[in-house]
Amino acid sequence: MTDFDNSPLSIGPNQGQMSNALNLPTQSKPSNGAHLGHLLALLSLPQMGPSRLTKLLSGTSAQDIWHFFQQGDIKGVGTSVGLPLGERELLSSECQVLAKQAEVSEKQMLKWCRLSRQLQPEEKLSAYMEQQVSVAELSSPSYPKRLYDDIEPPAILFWKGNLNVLENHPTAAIVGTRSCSNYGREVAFELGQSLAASGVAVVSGLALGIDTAAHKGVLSANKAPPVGVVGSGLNMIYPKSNRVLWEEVASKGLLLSETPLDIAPERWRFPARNRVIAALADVVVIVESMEKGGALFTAEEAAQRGKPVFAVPGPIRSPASYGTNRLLAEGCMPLCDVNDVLVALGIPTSNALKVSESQATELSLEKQKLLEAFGWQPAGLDQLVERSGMSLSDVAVYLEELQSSGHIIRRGLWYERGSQK
Amino acid sequence: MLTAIKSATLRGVLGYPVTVEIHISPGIGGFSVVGLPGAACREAQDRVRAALQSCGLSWPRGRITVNLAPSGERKEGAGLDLAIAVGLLVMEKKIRRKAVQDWGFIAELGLDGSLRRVPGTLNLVEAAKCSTVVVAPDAYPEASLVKHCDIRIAHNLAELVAFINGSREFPQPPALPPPTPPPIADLADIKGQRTVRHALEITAAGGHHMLMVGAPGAGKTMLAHRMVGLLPLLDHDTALEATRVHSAAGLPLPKSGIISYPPLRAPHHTMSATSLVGGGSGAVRPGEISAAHGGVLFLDELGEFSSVVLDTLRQPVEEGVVRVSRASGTFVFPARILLLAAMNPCPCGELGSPGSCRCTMADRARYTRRVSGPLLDRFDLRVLVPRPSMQELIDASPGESTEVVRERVLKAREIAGQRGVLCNAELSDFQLEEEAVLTEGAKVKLAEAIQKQRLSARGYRRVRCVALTIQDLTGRRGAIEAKCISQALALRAEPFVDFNADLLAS
Repeated sequence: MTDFDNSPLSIGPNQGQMSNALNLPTQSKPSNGAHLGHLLALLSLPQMGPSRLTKLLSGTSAQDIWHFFQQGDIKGVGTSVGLPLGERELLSSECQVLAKQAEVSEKQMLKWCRLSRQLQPEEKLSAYMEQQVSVAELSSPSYPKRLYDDIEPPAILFWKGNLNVLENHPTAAIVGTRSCSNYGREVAFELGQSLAASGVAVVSGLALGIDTAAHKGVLSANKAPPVGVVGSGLNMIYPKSNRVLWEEVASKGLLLSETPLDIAPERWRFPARNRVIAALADVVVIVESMEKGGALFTAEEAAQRGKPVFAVPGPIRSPASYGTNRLLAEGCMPLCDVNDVLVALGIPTSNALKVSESQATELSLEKQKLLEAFGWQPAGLDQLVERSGMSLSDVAVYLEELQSSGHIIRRGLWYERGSQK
Repeated sequence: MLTAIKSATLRGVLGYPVTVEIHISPGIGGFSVVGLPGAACREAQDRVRAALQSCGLSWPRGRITVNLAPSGERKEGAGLDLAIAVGLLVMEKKIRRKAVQDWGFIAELGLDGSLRRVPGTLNLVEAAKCSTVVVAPDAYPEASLVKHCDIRIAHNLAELVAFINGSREFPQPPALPPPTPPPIADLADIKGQRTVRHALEITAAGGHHMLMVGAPGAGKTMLAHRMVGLLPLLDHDTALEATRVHSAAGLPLPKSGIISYPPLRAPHHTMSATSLVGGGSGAVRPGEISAAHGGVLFLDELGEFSSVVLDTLRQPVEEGVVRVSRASGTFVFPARILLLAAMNPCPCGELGSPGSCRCTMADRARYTRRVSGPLLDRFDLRVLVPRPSMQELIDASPGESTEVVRERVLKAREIAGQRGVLCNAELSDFQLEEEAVLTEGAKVKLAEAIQKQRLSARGYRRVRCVALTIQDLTGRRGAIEAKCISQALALRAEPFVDFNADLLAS
């Protein structure tokens, strides 16, 4: 395998100049470790998001901030911060400045100060080492260039796997809705497979539906590595059913997050995650999206960054294609073939696979009639009988045959069109 | 001074004979009932005293002891009132002892001396085993079902004394009306839904249990309520069993006294396990599943029932009887039912159209977990009930009427009758092997289905059985054809699939 390194422990290309980054298992100078430890400890405080952290860090080092926090609450008599008269807890002048800088209330700052005395920055650091999670802050040389140049780069980045993937491959994001149709699932799978086979690192969010299908396609091609960007801490697998895929992406490619360990997925982190996906990708493909899907947010972020966005056209009756069709109406490029992505990336298209290779098989007239009775939505037995006008026993027989030839898929009570055209 | 009068009391759905012994000893007046009387039984004293006085009859002097033999069994209900009163009248010499020898008395007394029906009168008259039994007028229809027993009615105690002493003739009991069908809506009201209607027909013909899954408003409940109209009338034995259960449970009986049309029971999903299978503290009552004996038990919103309640269904559905064990003994209730259930595919009901379902995976899992695998396995037909399309709703042409479909169902049941069973679902494994011969094509189809892991051993037998019913409905005899198997397989879908599961890559 030449395209990517399989070792999850590999270190970035600028390993030699590393000053502020921690890359595991080789740990850099202790002072840097200490700096990172403090940074991680700061991040683990409640209500400490990336934007507050960035504001705090402007001009002051993490160690200093931590030092201020630990001595931040002083006892004395003075202005009220919500305590009865008499002895009050007050903020030190440094912390008052910091609170203003981070735009947080003094009450919140007091909480942080109290908590900071219970936390050990060194322990934080060793937790990351144990879980083999690498960390880089914005200023560290190992911080990926793609993100460094972005208009809104994450202040700190956590990853498992090989960061070189981002340097060595062109990237394309394949994203879409979680409740996708079979059509969307298949397109995502085939796109992932074809792009990976052409040497494109596919970026996706490891959510259910389209994201999962895309990465499964990438893994089935077994060529270019997958890149997963997630909204939760790297040890908080979400959704839980995706555990195997999650681990495979980390071991064969790169798993990225701007969320510290132990933090469960929160609502606001997903749009933030989508922004990172848009920043990492050279091209963004939206396979299916609902009217107000999160994938549309990714498209918006990509457009802001001037990156080409493709939308896969879908039937106008399918709610899962509503968002993508709307994008197309607004002037987004339609994706008709995997070559569209390759051309946008400047990759020769000769050896690329087509999105769908239709193998024309001869079908009897009745079977064709039955296939026509399928809408783009999954259909029940009753709907098929009603639309085709055939008897139940004929429909039952033809359905079985079409199922074994791969034209349709049975999902419990529903039947869907398969990849066979 | 001793008298013994015959009566009976209920135990589960069956009655057992009770002899009411009355002894009066001289001394200060008193009244005690012994022989494990229930609360209602113990209160008989006040009712009987008032009834006698209201009818101008005297209360005996002395110390009265009433013994309910056999004394070791608990007696519930007020059905022994009349027997106690008659016993006292014999002691007072208002009635000749000889006249009521080998007579039974089953009724509750009102304070005005009137006779009232007690639940389970049919079962009690059967159990009393007397040549003549006196019951309340409103209990006559059911009591008259007992053969070789002279049923007499009286409106109140005063009348009864006159009748027995021969000063007046017992009144002629009213002529019973012929059985009238309960109001059942017609199948023709349902537009479209051809597959589901067909599945209903198969269910009715073969006695196979059916699960309907569909979006809210698709018409599942409408379909279920038309189901009983497709079933044949109950045979005499089943009708008697059903009547006994209804009578004992205190459910209303038809005017003709006997339940001859298959009953439909549709309990609400908040029901308890006891109300489904029977039981209860004190008197053990039959549950909904026994009330549906011979007919249809319809569980609407199956996913909302508690899983504990649903799992109690497994044994009765298989065996056709419910066994309720209590410290006081084991009660066996009849429970030969056709189980019909309806539920949504997911809590919001929109599963199946990508993008419309608002449920999370956890929501869906919680919803479907209520229906355990073993219970699901007992549904031979699992069909999707889609919302009828605009076209179907506007289209005014009605579907086939109940009458037409019922005709075919009866024919199929006739064929089953030639096999020695009421319907194909009752065929034993051995009989199925004999009757449901497979053609070569059908064997291949079934083998394929098993290979694809879609069928358990039970599933294999059930598919074969359903295919037999499908073939019977077409009127064709001989070995089962492959297309019947295909149809049976198509109608037996796995209802709870993970729509997000990726079938593409594994």
